[in-house]
Amino acid sequence: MIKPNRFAVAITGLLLSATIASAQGTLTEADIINSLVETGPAMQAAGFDVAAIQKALFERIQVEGTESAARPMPVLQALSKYPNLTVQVEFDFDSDWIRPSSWETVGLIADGLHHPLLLTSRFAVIGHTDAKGSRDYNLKLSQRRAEAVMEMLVTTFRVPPDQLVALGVGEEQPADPANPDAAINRRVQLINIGPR
Amino acid sequence: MANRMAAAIFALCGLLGATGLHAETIGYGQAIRTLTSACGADLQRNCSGVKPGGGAIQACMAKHKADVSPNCIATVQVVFDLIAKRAEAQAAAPSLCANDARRHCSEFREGNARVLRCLIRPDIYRGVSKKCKQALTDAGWD
Repeated sequence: MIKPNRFAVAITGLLLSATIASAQGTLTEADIINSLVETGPAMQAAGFDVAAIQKALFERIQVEGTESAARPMPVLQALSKYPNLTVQVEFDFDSDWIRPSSWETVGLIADGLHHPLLLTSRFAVIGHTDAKGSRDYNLKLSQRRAEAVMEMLVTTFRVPPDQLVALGVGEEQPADPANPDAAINRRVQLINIGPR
Repeated sequence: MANRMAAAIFALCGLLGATGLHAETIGYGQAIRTLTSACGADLQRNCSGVKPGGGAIQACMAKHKADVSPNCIATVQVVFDLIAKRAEAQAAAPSLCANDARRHCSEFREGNARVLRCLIRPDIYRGVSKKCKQALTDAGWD
C-alpha cells in the first residue's frame, strides 16, 4: 500500500516509535508524517502553480511523441525533491469513486495532515494513471481522482481545504517508465509544497 | 438493535487503550476502518458512487436498510460520531492546554502550531498538566 520514499526524517519531539511500520506494505500515521514533514529551507522557495502546470500538461499531450517517459516534464521532476508520499488508492473502473477498501488510507493521511508537524504545510494531491487509454482522457480522469481524494480528506476527515490542492498529471509521469501500463503507475502522491 | 449498537460500541472501545492515558477518541483512519470492516461489501454493492462526506453514506445506508447487514447499520453512525469527536478534540486542545502553553512554551509565538509542537516535545510533554495531556491524547497528538 505504501511506497516509503527516501526521506527518513528523524522526528524528535514525538512519541511515534510504537506506530512505525514494522513491515513494508503497512501504512501508518508515523510513515505519513516522516515522509511529508518539512525538511529544510529549500521548502520555503516552493512556488507551486497548479494552473501553470495544468497548462503545460495540456500543451504537452497535444504533441505526438512526448509520451516517452525518457523526456519527463521538468516541473514534475522538480516536485519529487520535496517531501512526498506515494500511496495506492483504489477507484472504481473509469470512475472517481474511491473504493471503501481505500478509505482507511485516506483516513490515515488525514490523521497525519491534522498533526501539529504537518498542519502548517500545504500539500498537493497528485493523481497518476497508467498509459491505457488516451493521454487526454487519462489527464482528465487523474484530475477528477485527485479532486476526489482531496474532497474525502476535506468533507469526511475535516482537513482544512486551504491545506490542499489537487492536480492530475495523467500518464505523464509513470512510476515505472519501462512498463507504462503496469498497476504501479496508478497512484496518488502527496507532496509538501511549503507553508500554508 | 440496541444490543447490536452496544456491541458495536463495545467493539470500538476494545480498539482503544494501548497508551497510558485512556483516549476518549480514535483516529480518522481507525474510525473509517471500523466502518469499512463492517460495511465494505454493503457499501460497494449498495452505495457505489456515494462519497462518504456530508451524511451521504448514512442516507444511502438508511435507504438500503433491508439489504444491509445489521452490524453495518449499527456501526455507521457510531463511526461518524467518532470522527466528529476526534475533530472536536483537535479543535479544543489548544484552549485546554492554554495554561501549559503559558507555563512551558511562552517563548513560542502563537500560531502555525508552534505552541502545539512545543507541548509535544518529550522534554516539555513530561511536565504538562494531566488535563493538557488528556487533551493531546484525545487529539491524537501525544
